[in-house]
Amino acid sequence: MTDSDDRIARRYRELAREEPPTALDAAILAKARRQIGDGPALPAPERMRVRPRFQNWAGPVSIAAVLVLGIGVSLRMQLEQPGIESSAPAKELSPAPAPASPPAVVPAAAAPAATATDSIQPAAPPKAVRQNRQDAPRIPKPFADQPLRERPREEFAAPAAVPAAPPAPAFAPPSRPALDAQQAPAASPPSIRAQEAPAAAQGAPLRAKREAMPDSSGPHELRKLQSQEADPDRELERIARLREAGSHAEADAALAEFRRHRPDHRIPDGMWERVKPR
Amino acid sequence: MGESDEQLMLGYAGGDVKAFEALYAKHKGPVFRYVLRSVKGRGEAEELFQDIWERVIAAAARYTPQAKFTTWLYTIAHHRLVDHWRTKGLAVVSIDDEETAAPEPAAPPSAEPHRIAEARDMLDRLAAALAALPLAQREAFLLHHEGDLSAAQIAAATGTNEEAAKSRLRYAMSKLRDALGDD
Repeated sequence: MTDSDDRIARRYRELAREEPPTALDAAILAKARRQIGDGPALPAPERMRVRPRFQNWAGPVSIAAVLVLGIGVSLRMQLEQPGIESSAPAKELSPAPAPASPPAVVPAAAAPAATATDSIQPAAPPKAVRQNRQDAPRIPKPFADQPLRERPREEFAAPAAVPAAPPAPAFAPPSRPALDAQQAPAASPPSIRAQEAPAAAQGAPLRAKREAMPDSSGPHELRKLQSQEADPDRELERIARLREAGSHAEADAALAEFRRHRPDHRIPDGMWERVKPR
Repeated sequence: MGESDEQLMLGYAGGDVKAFEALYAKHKGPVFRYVLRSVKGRGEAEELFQDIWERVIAAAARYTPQAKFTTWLYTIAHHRLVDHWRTKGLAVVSIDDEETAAPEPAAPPSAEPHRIAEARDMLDRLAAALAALPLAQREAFLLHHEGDLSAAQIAAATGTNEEAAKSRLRYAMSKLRDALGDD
């Protein structure tokens, strides 16, 4: 640096005195506190200071426990059903129809992904959050409103749920519908259980996840699970396809979501042209 | 307190709000001024500033200190600004392109150096000259003087290479010197 550079730097420092308004400070700090307070992955600050490491794991472990419990209960409910059906004639039990067997196996393993994909389509709540932000005054009012209060929960719940997700497939394969379908390949009228089993197998992990997440934000959590696991380029491609399909609201929501999860990801110009808000 | 920014951020991710408050108090001014001088109005700047910190808060749980905290922070800020400029239809090209060999875009008439030189106050002249800089050069200047980032860190935050970052800084300083008649 030359002397003149130093002089410019010094003058700039004299010039540069602007600070954000205190209301904005308060809003951001309140948001930071709320994030800690509400986020299931992060415990209350005062307890945190005592045993931070344990508290770090408390959220994910409790979510995993709830998931395991939920799946266990749903499996048990499925296992109890054969007792009722066993009073029926044997030939009605054994012949799980051939078309029913693949769905019985596939949903058990792919249930989280499938349901998550389905739940992406509406994508209304994130838009509602953004909409609320746009409608309401910028500071500090939005933070007092409910939609923003929901954001921390979904943002922190998603990373916490990721490690908990793998148990679902591990539990799913031994589910009765899948076993029954393998053992009974012959074609015959589909039993009630055979029809209900895929839905049950599919629904169980979803229910368990919804139980783990206390409010109605379940689909969002699943969507985040998916989006976090996804390759950013694939996620952008998906958003671009939503745009091309004219689903701008969903694309906006997905783009906002993408930005929240990957704030430091650089979107290439070509891709930006395809995904940018219209 | 002797904790580094990285430790403070990890502390916040671990649930320590005080750590975030310390971090925010330290960086709010520079980030705010970086944003304020990168957009047209204060209202826009406040909105973007809030958005940037919300992103920092949201990303806290996933934060890993792979680089200096300020580099990470200004990377987030830079991306938010780029998104903003893009939605405004501003020339992002001038941010991404290497400008070392390219002719500089003409400054608006009111901000031309010789008119700025007529301004009474030196600081006003500096502010005007800074506002008249091309986006990329102004950003490099602000990241250096507000964020205290080196050329390499500016390059990392803005997705360019170190040489380009140095060049932008050099151009910016040169233009500011010209504007202030400070040779």
